[in-house]
Amino acid sequence: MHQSEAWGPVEEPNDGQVVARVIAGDREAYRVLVQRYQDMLYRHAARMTGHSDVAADLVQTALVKAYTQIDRCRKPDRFGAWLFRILANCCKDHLKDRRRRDISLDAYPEPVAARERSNPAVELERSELGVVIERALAMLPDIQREAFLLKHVEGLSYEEISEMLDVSISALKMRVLRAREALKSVLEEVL
Amino acid sequence: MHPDLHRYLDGEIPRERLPAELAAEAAEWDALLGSASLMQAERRAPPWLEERIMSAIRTAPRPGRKQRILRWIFEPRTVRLRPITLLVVSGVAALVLFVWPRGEPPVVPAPVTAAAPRSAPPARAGEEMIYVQFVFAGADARSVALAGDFNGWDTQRNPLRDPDGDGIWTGTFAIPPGLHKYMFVVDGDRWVTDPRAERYVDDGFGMRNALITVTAPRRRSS
Repeated sequence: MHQSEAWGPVEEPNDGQVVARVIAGDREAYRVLVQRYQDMLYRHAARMTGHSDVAADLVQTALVKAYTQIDRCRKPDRFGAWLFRILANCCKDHLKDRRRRDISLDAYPEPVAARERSNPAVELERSELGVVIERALAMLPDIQREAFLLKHVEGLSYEEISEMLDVSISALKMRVLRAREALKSVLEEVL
Repeated sequence: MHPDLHRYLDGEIPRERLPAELAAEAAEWDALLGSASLMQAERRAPPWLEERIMSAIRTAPRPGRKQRILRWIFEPRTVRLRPITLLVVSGVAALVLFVWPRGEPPVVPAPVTAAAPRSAPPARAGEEMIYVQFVFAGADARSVALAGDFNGWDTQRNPLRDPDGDGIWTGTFAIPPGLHKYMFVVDGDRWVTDPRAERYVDDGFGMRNALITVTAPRRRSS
């Protein structure tokens, strides 16, 4: 799995190979999975909860839980989908407590610096629109926001989302449709 | 929103197939979702999170057989069962509980009842036995034994005991069901008829044998 550079470029182990090593007792091998998925998990948790610190805690909880139960992952090659389902459940548990559901709009990021983009004027405009979208998304019901984020922010297919959330594709399409319509009406008021 | 616009946004139809009146709205959505997709690159996990997670992993329980066994024992689970399976299992359980022959029934002293004299054969191995307590009052006796047709009139096989020395000798012995003749043998050679027996029969030697009817307790019926 780990090749010397003399043999060519190091080949990235797939999820199934890493899971097998972790189950065999190699704790450090789990770092590969942490590095592979923590950004996506963090983004999703942050947008679902509205708090960066809560998102970090939820990501840690999900990854530790996935580690202790990794031998229950039935499709190790699809570890990412299984892990995401754990995180989604952690988010739901957190959001169930309505007292904690005080989504802070301050938690959303400032627009990305214009110098990082090829066309500064256009990109600045687009990133500012992104912040507006993010604020509008915070007003959607949890399940609509979750489906919209996975579809249009993470760019996943309905099949992938269905596997991750254990929800039928038709139900997901309806959630995304509702999310778009709600988003449109919110944006029409804001813009 | 127009259903075709949703189908376009879901990637099910190309933009060219949209009606002309939806073209402007589709362009707006393209711009909006393009901005949404940029959000992906704008947020990454904080740099310290990876080490914090790995520290937690190092102290977390190692996944393995022990964890699996503990989870299997303690975690609630949903059991799916076909109704027909449930019926069959219930029927078998009922059969075992109420119909299946049981082992030896609990042994209780048999009541002594009057009956026509009839000699009973000696007990055979494997034959059902009933425990019966015999009592003999003999303050001056040094030993007391029970002899009868159930033990071949053996004077030593079934001794009675008087551990507290109060002159009351007792012994509980396994006797097969039926009508039995018996006597007490005092001090090894003196044959004494049980004065508490309800019925007696002549022994042919000028004395009387006591009679006892031993009956098996009734089985519980289904």
